[in-house]
Amino acid sequence: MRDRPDGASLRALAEQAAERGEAPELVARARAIAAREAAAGAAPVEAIRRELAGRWGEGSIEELLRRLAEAIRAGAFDAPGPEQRALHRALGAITEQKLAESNPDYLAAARRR
Amino acid sequence: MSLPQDAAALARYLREATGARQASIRELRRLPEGAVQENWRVEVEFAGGDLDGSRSLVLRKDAATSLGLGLDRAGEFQVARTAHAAGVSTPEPLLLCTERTVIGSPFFVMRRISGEAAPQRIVSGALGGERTDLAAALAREMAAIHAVAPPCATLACLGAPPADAAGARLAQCAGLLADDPEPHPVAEWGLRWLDRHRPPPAAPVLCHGDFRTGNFLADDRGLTAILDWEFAGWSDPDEDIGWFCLGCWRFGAYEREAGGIVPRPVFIDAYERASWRRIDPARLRWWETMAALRWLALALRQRDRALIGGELSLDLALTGRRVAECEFEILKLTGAL
Repeated sequence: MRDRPDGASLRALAEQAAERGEAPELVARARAIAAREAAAGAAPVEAIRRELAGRWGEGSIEELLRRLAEAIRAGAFDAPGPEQRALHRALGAITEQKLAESNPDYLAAARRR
Repeated sequence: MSLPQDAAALARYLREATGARQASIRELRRLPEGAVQENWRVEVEFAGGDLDGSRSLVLRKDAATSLGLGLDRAGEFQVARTAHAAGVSTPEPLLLCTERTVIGSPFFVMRRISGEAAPQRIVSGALGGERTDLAAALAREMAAIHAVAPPCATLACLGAPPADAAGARLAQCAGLLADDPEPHPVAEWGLRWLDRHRPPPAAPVLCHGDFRTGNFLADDRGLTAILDWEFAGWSDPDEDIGWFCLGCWRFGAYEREAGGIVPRPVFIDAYERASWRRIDPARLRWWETMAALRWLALALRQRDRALIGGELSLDLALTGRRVAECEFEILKLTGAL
């Protein structure tokens, strides 16, 4: 569910970049994302997985997201109604969780609008 | 570019291409602007020839790895020349070198224009002068670009204009997303929504393709130049406006929807005055949603340049973590949030 590079990779990339003398603000941003992801741990992803599984069948988070993507592409959520609303809730929860880890300032500013 | 061997080869090239008796490079250093291409500041002392005297130039060349999208340097040079000739404030392109033998990759050379592109300094108001004046100047530049319409003899590099720019862009983004091995349900939702709400085709015009805060220069008085033409093409003019207004390009000033500079209606009003064209909010919303999807697809590509292509750039790797911003915008713009 989380976008690549994941927190651990980002931390490693940040250390290499710091050694190369890349911009300190980029290094700090990468470290901050890694720290937020580590602090959040696996719980938010598992919570979203359970939510998706409860409605669209069991599977790993990757399997569920893949099935969801295929169903969207096939037009299964085109019609307004409870299914579409459930999809929107799920996509919103996934996106806000990712944004809270990747760029919480963006999320806070966008929510104010 | 590696120094100093390339500097010597470049000096030779500059001397021959301008017909100078001598060309001495006084300074050669990479500029911070440009994640996709490299820009180098070149200070040259010419003796004789077309550029006789002290010249402040910028050299633009391919980066170590490429996105595999957009124009090559020859195409970009042609578009920049056409835009410059049409009165757009952009650095005058002077020389194009398609040979790899000089500095290892094709490049072009343009006159340097003073100013900074630093987005944070633009949105904070430290650069660019009065915000409404800056927005009006940007609107006039955008309208001047959009006044270039096909057929255009100097823009053969852009190919034939698409009969349906919206459909063409949608197909391109669908293809880019299909190349990524991971599932992207929000992007799929965006694709589906865009396909079902596609606007009727508009007459294509020259579009910059990456018109946003960060891609223009300003000093403390105002706008000095529009930069980076590599994503230019024939398209719907609303595409540039949607891209400019996308939430991802507001750099911390989310509430000022036009590039983090002014509220959206201020920019739209200035653009309508400059272009004599009315903006339809529904069409603009479609193109802004398209912009979010396109930036998502390009961000995945940029990320892969670092993670797969091996380019040593934390900046590029971090682009992968901007995907969620695009997803948020897609959901918001399609009424799903």
